[in-house]
Amino acid sequence: MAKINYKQISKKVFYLILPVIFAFLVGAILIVVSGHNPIEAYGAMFRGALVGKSALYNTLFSSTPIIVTGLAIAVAFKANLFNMGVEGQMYLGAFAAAYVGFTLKGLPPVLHVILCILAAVVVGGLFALIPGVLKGRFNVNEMVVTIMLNYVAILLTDYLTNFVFYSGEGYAATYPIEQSAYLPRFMKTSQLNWAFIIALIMACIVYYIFKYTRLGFEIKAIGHNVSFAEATGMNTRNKAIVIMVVSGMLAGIAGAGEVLGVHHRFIAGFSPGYGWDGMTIALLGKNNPIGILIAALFFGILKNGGSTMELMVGVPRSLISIIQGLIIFFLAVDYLNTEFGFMSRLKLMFRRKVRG
Amino acid sequence: MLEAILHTSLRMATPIVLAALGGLFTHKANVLNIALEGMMLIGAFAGVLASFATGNIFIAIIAAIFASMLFALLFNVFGITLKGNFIITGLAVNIFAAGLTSFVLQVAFGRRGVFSDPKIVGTTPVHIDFLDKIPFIGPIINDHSPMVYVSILIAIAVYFVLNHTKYGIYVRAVGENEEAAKAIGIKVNRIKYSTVYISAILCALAGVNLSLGNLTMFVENMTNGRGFIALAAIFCGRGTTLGTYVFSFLFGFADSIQLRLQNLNIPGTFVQMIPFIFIVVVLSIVGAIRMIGNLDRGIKDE
Repeated sequence: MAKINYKQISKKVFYLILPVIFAFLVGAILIVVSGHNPIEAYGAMFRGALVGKSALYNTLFSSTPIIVTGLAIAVAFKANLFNMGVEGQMYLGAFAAAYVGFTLKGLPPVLHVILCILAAVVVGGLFALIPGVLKGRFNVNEMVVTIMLNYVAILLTDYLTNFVFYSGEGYAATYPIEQSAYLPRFMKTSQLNWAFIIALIMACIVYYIFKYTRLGFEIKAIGHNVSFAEATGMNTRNKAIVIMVVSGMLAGIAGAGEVLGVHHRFIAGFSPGYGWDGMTIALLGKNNPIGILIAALFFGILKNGGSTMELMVGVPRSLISIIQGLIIFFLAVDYLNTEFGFMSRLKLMFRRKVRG
Repeated sequence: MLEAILHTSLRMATPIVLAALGGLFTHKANVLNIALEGMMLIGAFAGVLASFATGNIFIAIIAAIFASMLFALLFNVFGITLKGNFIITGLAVNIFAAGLTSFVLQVAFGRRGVFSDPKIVGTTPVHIDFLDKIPFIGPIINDHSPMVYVSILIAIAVYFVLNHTKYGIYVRAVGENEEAAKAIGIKVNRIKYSTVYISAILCALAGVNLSLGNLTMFVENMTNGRGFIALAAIFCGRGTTLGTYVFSFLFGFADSIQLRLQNLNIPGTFVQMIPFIFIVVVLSIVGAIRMIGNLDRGIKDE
């Protein structure tokens, strides 16, 4: 255990990079079909995301919410719980943060920010409690429930924004939050703000949970084999509830970061699918906080560079979601698992032929 | 009033029914198919494109089925041949379908979000004369797009195939005990492949019904969770054909209530939550009843 097997790790990394390369190749074909030059398009994308200080800052900014949603999903995925409701939990968390942000007045800045984030954590966690309890108590498929609840959350916040807390500024947004609840920015030309630091802290916390706590061990055990975990005396039903709630809490933080750091108010439908991006990131990062950070930065590049690509070369940004879908396809297959491994299957076929 | 609501329910339920009947095959073969959503979306899109290009509804339907089958092939290769995780593969199908439709829309037509054109030919409602004579039932099932009647016929066919044919028994055998099925010589993977293709065909019809039956246009993400609602219907119906149909209809009913309430002076977004909340409530009730039933027999787990 103590020795790090570099060969094994490099093999793992290779099998993670391979899907990305495949996806980019298929993407290149689509770019050619649409009448553009793929090298030019990808070049514009990476230049737009990486060249210059503000471009780099913007890339970090784009990856901020998806780091947190990726972590939220990883917590559940690792225990084989498919929390697809991170999007909805994030919406409600964001709304709670905004609500505390504009109702409480005259608080010192740091305290106000902490209260807003706490509100988001509580609301996100409570909303995740519903699918958690349904899964834990009645064994209802959590996937369908969370997806249905996504629609509920998005519509509910839309209603609250448009009819209850409408600011009257012409677009569907609530009153602005107090200045004391702002997460400060690092520079004027980029929207990168302290939410990024919070995201990094969350990654550390999740790393700690996975590595050193009882919950982390239980998540791993349930993910590997539920029946075995139950046989060792673990109350897997209650644990499913706890894991869902933790996942929802993280989702709430993702929403709070967007409200306190970027929009400074709740905007109806503000998320372009951060919850879904989080899923790709959790898969690409193999549910490992460090892997998730790398994957989220990679997607930050794609997202930030995608708009440059659209502007400069004219290739639609939706190419990014195509690449995303393709990456997931290739990631779905567990090439490493020796029993079903792609390479060993080939070897097996070969061996069979030799034996005749 | 009630007749009108039920009429709308049948209309709103049809795409859910079709997708759920398709999903029933994969459910029986123990393949969790969340790609229903993506296959429906690509079907709707291909249908609209073909209808726009040729003006022929039959070619549109064939194009939709073809496109949907291609995505089913992807699902099969990655999920079954390469033994990938079904949920992740299905997710990939959904994201890929959403990305591809909006990419093609923008590259080929320079449109964003919505594609409507007078050249797109939709299905026309069918009026059956003799139904006029039947009170109450007549007005409910009359004057629908042909896909509604097709869906009813398909439901009967699915019941028959799953329960009274050799193929249906094979599908159930594969779903219930894969090893045993393999042992008696059933080609397990071939059966699984075929169920995914069947679900793709029915999802294509569901998609066509959305984009060419209820509307004559394509809107980005117009399936709006219907693939997952179909899954919910299957779970609530406990994998029986009749149960699946009844719950699909029920969810369509919730949708039609929502549409009707929107005409009153209630904010739209508030009312639109009704079907989704309704589904969660129904799922929990069904789950609770099943759990109590299990405990009665002294068995804690399934």
